[in-house]
Amino acid sequence: MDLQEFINNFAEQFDDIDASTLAANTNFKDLEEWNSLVALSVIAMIDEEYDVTVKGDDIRKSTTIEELFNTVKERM
Amino acid sequence: MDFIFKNKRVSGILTILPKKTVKFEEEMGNYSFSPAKCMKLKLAMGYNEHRIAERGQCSSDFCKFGLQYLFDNGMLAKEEIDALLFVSQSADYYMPPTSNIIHGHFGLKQDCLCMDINQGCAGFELGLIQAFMMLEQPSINKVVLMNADVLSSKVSDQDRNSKPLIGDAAAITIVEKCEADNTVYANIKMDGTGAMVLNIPAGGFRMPSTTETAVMEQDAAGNFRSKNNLVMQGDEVFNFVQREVPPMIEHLFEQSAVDRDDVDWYMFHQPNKFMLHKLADKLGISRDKMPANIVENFGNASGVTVPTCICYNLGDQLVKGKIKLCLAGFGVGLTWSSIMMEMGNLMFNQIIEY
Repeated sequence: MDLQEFINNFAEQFDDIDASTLAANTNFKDLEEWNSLVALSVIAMIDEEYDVTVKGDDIRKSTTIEELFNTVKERM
Repeated sequence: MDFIFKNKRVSGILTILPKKTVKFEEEMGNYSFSPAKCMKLKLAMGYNEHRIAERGQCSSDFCKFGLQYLFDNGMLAKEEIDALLFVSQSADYYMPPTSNIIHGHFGLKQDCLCMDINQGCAGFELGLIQAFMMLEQPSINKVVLMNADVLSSKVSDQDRNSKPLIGDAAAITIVEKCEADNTVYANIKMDGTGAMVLNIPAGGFRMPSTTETAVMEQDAAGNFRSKNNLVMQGDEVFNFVQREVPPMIEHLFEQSAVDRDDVDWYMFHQPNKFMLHKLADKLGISRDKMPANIVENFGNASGVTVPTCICYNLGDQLVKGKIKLCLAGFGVGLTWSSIMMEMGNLMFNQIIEY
């Protein structure tokens, strides 16, 4: 599982965010475009791309994209 | 759990909607969310306008109005009703059963089985399964299935999770025996460990409504609710639907030996446009075959969404011809259920307003 690929997939869940503006240590919940709908899209993306179930709680506990990436990786 | 039924059919569907329409924009100001974010939510979820019952309009009132319409127009005769099923989460009273109130209102015959069933989003499928099972009896030839909910008043005005999508409505479906050699395939599953994922904490015997349960509290996302209000763990519901519904439908294809491309329409419960599109994509079904326009036009009235979807999108097509349908409901309970059946040559398939 590749971190950069995860960041790209993550960026795709936003309407208008360029993946290059996101990094492993981005505090994604601080992004202006972040909302509960993007959270659901991220949950769906992780289910589709990685066949891993994450819950809203997992998203709430993660601060950076890398933290979420690690949660997914642990469950694969 | 799988079911097979033979020589049973749906012969008519009538949806009864409240006249009162509320637009998303009118309620936006109640949410602790910027107008720009609200508009984004509207677009993704497909929120536009929803139908809301007037204060004092109960589930039974919509059912009575619909039945009276059917009697007046010669679409149903009182003496043919052998069973009256009322599927709802908003009964008029704790006791008596609402189906008995309706039975009494019309003076129906005593040889009639009245039954209330507490079920929500899968209420149409569960109701049909119950109706089909009853029709196995020689003494039951016609079942009137009523799905009705007026839950909008239980949802906080300041809850952007649930308020924009909730709707009130009722549907009456006539289910009867038939000669034609048609087979209905159905399945249903339950997971009670998720029973509280969708709930109304106060108002039952566990936690009676008091002044304390009416106090509004803010949650982490900025929504305000009291214990008397409906509360939904949206992400849990979303995960549940994405996890359980696609395998259930795949199983139904196998069980019924029907290819996904041979199904004319996928009439699914209508939580919001976003979830339905995700489901269609995951099942490899064209989004055009799975209508997702009920929340934006009328709102989600739990078990009433599937009949509403059928009446609104198919209308006269189901009176004039026959169509292969895949029905599915999923939600509170947790309950998920699906049905593969041919429907057609209905006596009526329409929407009226009350």
